[in-house]
Amino acid sequence: MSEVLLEARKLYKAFPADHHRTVQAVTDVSLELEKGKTLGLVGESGCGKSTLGRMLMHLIPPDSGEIQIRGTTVSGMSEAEFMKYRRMLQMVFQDPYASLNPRMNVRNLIAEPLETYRMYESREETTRHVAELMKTVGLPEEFLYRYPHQFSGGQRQRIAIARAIAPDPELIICDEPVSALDVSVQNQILNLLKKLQQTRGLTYLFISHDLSVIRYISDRIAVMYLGKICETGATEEVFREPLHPYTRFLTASVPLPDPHRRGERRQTLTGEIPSPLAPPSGCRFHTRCPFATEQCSQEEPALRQSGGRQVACHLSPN
Amino acid sequence: MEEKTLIVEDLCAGFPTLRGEVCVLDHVSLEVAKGKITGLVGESGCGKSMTARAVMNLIRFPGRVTSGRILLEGQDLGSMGKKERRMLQGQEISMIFQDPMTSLNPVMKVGKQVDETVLLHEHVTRDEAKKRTLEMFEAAGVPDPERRYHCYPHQLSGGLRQRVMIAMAMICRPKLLIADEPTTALDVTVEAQILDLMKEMSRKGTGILLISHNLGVIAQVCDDAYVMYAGKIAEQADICTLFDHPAHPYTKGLLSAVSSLRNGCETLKTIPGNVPDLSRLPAGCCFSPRCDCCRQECKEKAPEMREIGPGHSVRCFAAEGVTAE
Repeated sequence: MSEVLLEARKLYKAFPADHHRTVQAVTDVSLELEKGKTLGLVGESGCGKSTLGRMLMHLIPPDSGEIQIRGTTVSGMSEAEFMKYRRMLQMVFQDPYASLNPRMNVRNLIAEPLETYRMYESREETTRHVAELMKTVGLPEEFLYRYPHQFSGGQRQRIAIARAIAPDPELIICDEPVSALDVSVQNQILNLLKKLQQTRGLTYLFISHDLSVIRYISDRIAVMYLGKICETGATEEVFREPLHPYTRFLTASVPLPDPHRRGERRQTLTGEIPSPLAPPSGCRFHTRCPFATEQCSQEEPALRQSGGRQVACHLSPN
Repeated sequence: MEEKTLIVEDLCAGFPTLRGEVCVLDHVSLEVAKGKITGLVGESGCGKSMTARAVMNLIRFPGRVTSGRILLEGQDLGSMGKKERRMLQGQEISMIFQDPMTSLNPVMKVGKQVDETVLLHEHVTRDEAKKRTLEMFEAAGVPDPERRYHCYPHQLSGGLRQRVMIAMAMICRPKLLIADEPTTALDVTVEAQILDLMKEMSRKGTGILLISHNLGVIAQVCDDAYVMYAGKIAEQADICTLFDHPAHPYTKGLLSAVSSLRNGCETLKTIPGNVPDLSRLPAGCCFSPRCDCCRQECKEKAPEMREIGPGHSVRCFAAEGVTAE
């Protein structure tokens, strides 16, 4: 059994909306992040995957539930107490145009976390280490004193990654890190993330809506729908034989880059994700599910274990 | 010979800058056949959207079209007066954009916005216009049209807004629809629905120019496709030829990048380097610095488009056609 780095138990998060209503962003989510592995979190927009990522990062507090790092409960800690763990967790965001301060040069951007944690004695030593980090992520050292606007999207994402790995973290939460990039550049970044994981033993929580990216990078995946996890399992197993109808439609909806295989998918889902302001009763997917029965609209299915997988569906066989 | 809805010939467009005129479209030629979907694919900044904007006469000042012809069913759009061309748009050519929220008026009911299009272009009464809108909503797959007619854009989901946009674009039965990344902002399950809708529209006789960076989308719906790189067409072929026998190293690079991701290779294929800055294009072939089969000749002179097979053209010195089986 491998070591569990981070564990979340029964996390709930709701945000207030207008007219005294609330948005149920995350409902009853539990997950485990194994050390050195990648958990892919996949789902459509508004399903709560980013909110979940932010809760694990201690950026927003959960309404209820517990987050443990190596067995120590960190949820509910004050920012000062959490400081010890903060360095272990880093984050890479989707938009490298918004996540880098435009008025700081690359040296200062990457040095900021090093200085925050007082990792090096002198300025020179810090700069030397920044140059090393730049080499690690594939940026030429000459760019040390350039500013973000002088870089392309892919290069900026490299800067963001260098910042994230600077304090030697154990876990990096990647929130759609390649979604804003073109395919050829996207692959460069994915290769880099995989290489860093191998050389530094990093653990990733990889949030994405892109199934082919998730399939490539993840060891295990968790599929979210309207704030709840509907299926988890080893990546290849889930893709080979999805148990939840939503996963089945999601994987079948991806347009294949092969004009000879047009007839194959085309079992498209009707409708769209219902509003999280008023999630449907029973199984949250029943309004779009072609297999839904009477039971599905009344009773909420629990996430059940079957083999190494979990699925929340009344209809899936045990 | 199949009928051509749109013919673009040697279209050039540029922006004046401090470093001189930057050429964003460099002799772009393309054709859209009647009732077919033609794809225009490339990475960001390659000029896909500029091409669409040039056809729609939407390039913002100080950018301008410097030369070339745009023919809609043989009619030269460039020789038309401003007013005449304006009336053509929305009626014979229409366009949908990536983000339906920014292209709809947020303080006007969506039904009224669609009515407006009909009232502007056709001599109909308000009641008739409403009837047409509701029919079109039905055809575009907007559930419960009567209720949605009275909704404001913010009350609709992204997929529904895009359906409203499609209804608005199609209501005067245009000859040509330009769709600029119509599904990029949508979720996959909704994307599939919108692509189906576009296919249906093309079957009714509208020629569609579909702009996308997503090779999967292009492969699933297009009949022909053009690949663009740095303001130029790099390769053109029917969809099967393009995916089975790509000839341009850039097309090959893009396709192997996508397929290596799908097949779960240990190290993913990439195209080294970045898209070039249009104001500082390399000499010779603009792809040469990133190309792994670059020769001396490629660094000295720029290749022209040449035909290497029936309906298959490529801008590369090294590319060879497939010999007939």
